[in-house]
Amino acid sequence: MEVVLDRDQFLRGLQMVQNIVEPRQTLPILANVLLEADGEIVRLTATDLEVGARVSVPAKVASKGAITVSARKLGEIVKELPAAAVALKVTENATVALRCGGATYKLMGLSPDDFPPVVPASPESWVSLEAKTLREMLTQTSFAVSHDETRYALNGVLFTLQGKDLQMVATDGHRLAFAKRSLGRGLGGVAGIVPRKAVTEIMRVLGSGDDVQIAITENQFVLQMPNFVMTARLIEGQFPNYEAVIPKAHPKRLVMSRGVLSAALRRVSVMAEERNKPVKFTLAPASLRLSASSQEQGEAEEVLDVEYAGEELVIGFNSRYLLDAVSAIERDQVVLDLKDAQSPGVIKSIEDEGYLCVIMPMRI
Amino acid sequence: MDAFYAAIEQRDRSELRGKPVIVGADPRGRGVVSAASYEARAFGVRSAMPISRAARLCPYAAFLPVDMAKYRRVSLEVMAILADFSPLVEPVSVDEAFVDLTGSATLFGSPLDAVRRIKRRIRDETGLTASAGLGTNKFVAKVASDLEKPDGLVVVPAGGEARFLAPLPVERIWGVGRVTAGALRELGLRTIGQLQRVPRPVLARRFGKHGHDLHDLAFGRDDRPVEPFGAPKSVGAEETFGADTTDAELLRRTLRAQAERVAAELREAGFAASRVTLKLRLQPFETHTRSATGEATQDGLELYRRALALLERERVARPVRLIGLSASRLGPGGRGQLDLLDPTALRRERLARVVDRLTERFGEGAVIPATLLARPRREPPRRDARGR
Repeated sequence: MEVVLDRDQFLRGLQMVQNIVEPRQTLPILANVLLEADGEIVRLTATDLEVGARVSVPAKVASKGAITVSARKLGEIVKELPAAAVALKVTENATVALRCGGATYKLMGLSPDDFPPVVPASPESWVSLEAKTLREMLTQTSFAVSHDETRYALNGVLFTLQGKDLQMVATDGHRLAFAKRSLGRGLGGVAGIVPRKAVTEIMRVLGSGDDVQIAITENQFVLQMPNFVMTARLIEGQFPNYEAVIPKAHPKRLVMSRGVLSAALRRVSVMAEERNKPVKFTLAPASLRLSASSQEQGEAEEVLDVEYAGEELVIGFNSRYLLDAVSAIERDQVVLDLKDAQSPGVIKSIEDEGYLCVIMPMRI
Repeated sequence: MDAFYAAIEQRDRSELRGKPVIVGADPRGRGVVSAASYEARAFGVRSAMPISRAARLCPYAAFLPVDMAKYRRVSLEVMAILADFSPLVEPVSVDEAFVDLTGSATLFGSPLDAVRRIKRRIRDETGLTASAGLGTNKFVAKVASDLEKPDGLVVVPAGGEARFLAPLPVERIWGVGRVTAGALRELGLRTIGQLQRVPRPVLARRFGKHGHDLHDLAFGRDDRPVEPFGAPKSVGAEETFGADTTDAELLRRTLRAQAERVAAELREAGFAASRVTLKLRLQPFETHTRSATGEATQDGLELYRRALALLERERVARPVRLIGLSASRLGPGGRGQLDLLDPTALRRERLARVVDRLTERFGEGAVIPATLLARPRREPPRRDARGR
């Protein structure tokens, strides 16, 4: 293999795949990125056997071929190179000679034959949507993904294609975030839990402008963009019945400004106990009092004017959960629907934005 | 307290006095010794030893089951006596406590006078003997109290700590178990006096942070305060099986029952635990513990679920000798984050309150989860009598 690439394009390509490589691997070759030269491109592929990504970078290919080299080292090198042509040549014994300007490197590689194949499924149909929509929906749900490895079915975002809608749901057992968009055409009915790592990577590589295509097959999630494809093995396991968790109608509705609420929450929660950051909500007609206290540090309180006509109610929430939920809302007016101190609260925009977050209260 | 459980039994049953008494599991079974009277210790019986070994060493001893409720009652009497001498009493276990007498000197004469009066009152009021150590800090006092059991009283004068410790084996130091003792032995260090001659940096290089502690403790320096009784550190239950088992169903049922017991104890004390630890002892005698931290709970089913998740991750392949569950990181109960995906959690909480009241009235086991009901044993496959 002998190729010449533009340094900037090469770097951008590497950055799109190199985060797939885990810091510690079960197989040495998983630390490497696969380079394949053919036609007028070099394809870069990385995988951790669960999530894989491949990007094509334009190149002058003098002779085609393939090699794998350390993703981390290659990334470190290309990042420091000047904006010039980068020449790569595979020499004997799976070694790569890299030249750029006056700098030369010799990189120990591993045979491409041992690299685990990244094979995107060929789905019957793709769903195409704006990158912006995909990013928005992931922003509105990914914060609620569970980090508890023992509840592996919750370690990802549930994608559901149904009717004309794309839905995403994530929950950690304390809160549940739900996003829904109509894509305006029939999509069939499939669902799959996309692992957290893939979600994080998608959000990282998504541009703003392009259309992207996604597909869910029996065991794989696939994302396609021009010159780029990502595959993720779906999480096996039963996602909880989220529809049962979302309250249908709560009797008490609180309406307030998103900015005012989150600023006050941040101020009051300074004095809340560190682990769960509990803040007490005391509701009375037209007023909301937020208060927090910790035995060692002291206490804080703030009273807000709100639209509220219901009965008095005292309810506690983890303020981090509320801040996460509120920050995913676009418009300024938010509503918080409540029932009693032991039932979940529902937070959403006053106008339907296809988003809501259900948060279970804390007992304070 | 000296041979606490055994001494209480001897006190209450005059026919046992002067005889070897072993309190613990069934001697025909596979549990351990909880306490041995001094008469039994003469045969080499020690606490935490497999009960079967104790039975071989001392076959004519009186073997008695553990009556924890009784020992706790006596423990409270003893602790109450200590509390008369200082507000700073830190129980370490049911039969051991630190008492800070710093501020009590004027009230009771010298600290030594106070200790003598404590020992006398314990003997007069409970009929039991206690051994005491008097020193300038917790470590020295603890070592001193162990030296002249039973009914001992060892005083280490201020400034005499290093001299007092020097002849003792290194194992007397807190935190020196088999491993550290072995490592010290390799360096030719068997006594605390030999350890005192090793410069601090040498110990720090060899043992890291622990090396600094070793150096300080070797000279009898310990600045930990006596912390009056707060929360217990953990609540647990464990069981040694009659025969080592690989029966997953039996392991689950045992864990389930343990979870209910631990949860009931947590609720009784008003605590919720955020850490669950699973303990497994596998054949031949290898002990594993695994822990998980989550939301604080005092619910039996929830404790069970967390312990079960740990058990399933262990992928136990060898026969299990002992299984246990303990709950730690205790905080006040009835608080904290509620669960969104566990719709019966609040109902179980109300149920637990009812079950606790029924248990109080009708005794333990009055209400148990249906999964723990004894089930008819499955018939072994019947063989055709005529051999067909």
